[in-house]
Amino acid sequence: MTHTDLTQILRDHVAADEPAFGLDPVRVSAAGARLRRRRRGWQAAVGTLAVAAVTTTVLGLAGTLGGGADDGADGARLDPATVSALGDYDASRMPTLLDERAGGVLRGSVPDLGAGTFRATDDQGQRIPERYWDKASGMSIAYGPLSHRYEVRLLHARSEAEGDARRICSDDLASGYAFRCTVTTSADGDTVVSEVVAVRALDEQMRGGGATWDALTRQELETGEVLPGDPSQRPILPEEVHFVRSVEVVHSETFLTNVSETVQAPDLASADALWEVPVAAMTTIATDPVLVIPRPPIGEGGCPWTLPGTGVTCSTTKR
Amino acid sequence: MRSEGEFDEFFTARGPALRRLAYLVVGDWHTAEDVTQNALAKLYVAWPRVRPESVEAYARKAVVNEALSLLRRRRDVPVAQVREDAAGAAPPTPSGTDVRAALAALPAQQRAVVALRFLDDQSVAETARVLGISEGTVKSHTSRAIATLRLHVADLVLSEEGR
Repeated sequence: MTHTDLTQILRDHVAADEPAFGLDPVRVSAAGARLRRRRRGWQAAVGTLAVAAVTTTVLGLAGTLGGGADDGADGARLDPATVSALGDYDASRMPTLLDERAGGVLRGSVPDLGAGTFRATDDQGQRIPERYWDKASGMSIAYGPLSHRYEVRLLHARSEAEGDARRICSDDLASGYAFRCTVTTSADGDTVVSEVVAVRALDEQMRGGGATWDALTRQELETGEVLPGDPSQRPILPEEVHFVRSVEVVHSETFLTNVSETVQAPDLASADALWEVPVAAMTTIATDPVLVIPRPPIGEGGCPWTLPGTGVTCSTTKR
Repeated sequence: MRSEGEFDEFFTARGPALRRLAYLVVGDWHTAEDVTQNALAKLYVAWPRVRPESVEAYARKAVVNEALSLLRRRRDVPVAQVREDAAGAAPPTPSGTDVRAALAALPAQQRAVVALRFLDDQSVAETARVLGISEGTVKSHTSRAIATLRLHVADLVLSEEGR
């Protein structure tokens, strides 16, 4: 039997009981949009349950810093502490630095915070071993179980950092993804966006890994159904629902800091009674000029570096 | 920037083939559809920055990565429970059931190699690139997979000759 024969056997096998193609581009695009939203700042870290999120975003001079903060090239616009931190950057020290500075603030509100879990990821969100930490696109530290979790993320991701906060807030409210969304300006002139959204895993089978979280609209939470009428979508279980309150600062075109608190609660009112860390404390962390990571190097495909063998090719090389 | 209309066109043209690829790796159509949806959702996110000539490879890689990741998390799926060493299996007969059993007898990454090389007709080099492994590893996986498949599928005397 030849290669061609095996090919035919496999094709016959596949064709024998192949059902009609049930996916449609609208649904997949919606899933992609949800994924994009999740990546934009209110990602629910790691876990097995769906999440509803309350997000407060602080856009620090967004749109004017350009690509400066991430590489220090625009040092004149940056806090001297940030310039210094980037100059002295040592990826191996980041777990300790995050725990000391971010964990230290969190412990002011949560004395029994416990030990943090550090995670470094590449541009595709894959966890990377320590020998690659200096190439990381993201670093985070998380405390506690998903039922009540605190997380601080430092992330280089143009798709998540770019965009007008007010427009995003307005769009999220109009689409129902935002349960609450307000934009204010801090005393320092930073734009502050507060938002409430809901998310859960894209499908039940993926929930075990907690890798892919899905946003839910207000209507979906109220009805308990995602995409009503779509039999491929399972109902929303109340116990799956979590709320996340976060503060996010976009430092440049690619770099942002996100601080979040996650609580398991069936509705927003219940979640509001569970928050431990004041927004002001989260803002302190999110604006900490020392908590920065340099922009990751460019990989072979023109995209930010990814683990060997997992790279993608990009058409946009502007950084 | 590439349009969503182009994404829809790609989706319509390539979606079914990508689902077949996923099916051969995960072993059931429902899961294959989930895998394909998740992979295409990720492609949608990356769509504006993926070069047109790379879209096919990106999608294939996304599907395989998604499938293998799922199988790593789902230790209880039937395909993951079947040992590679299937020497004790019942004598095979040339049926669809045996093809399914033969594929189930392969480790997930070997199934991915088989799917990419024999269903999708990808080269050793492209298969290596998609899976993030060396060409030598692709060849060894292929040889081992064929040896296992022979145990299950009657008349399968496949060799690497001609490839």
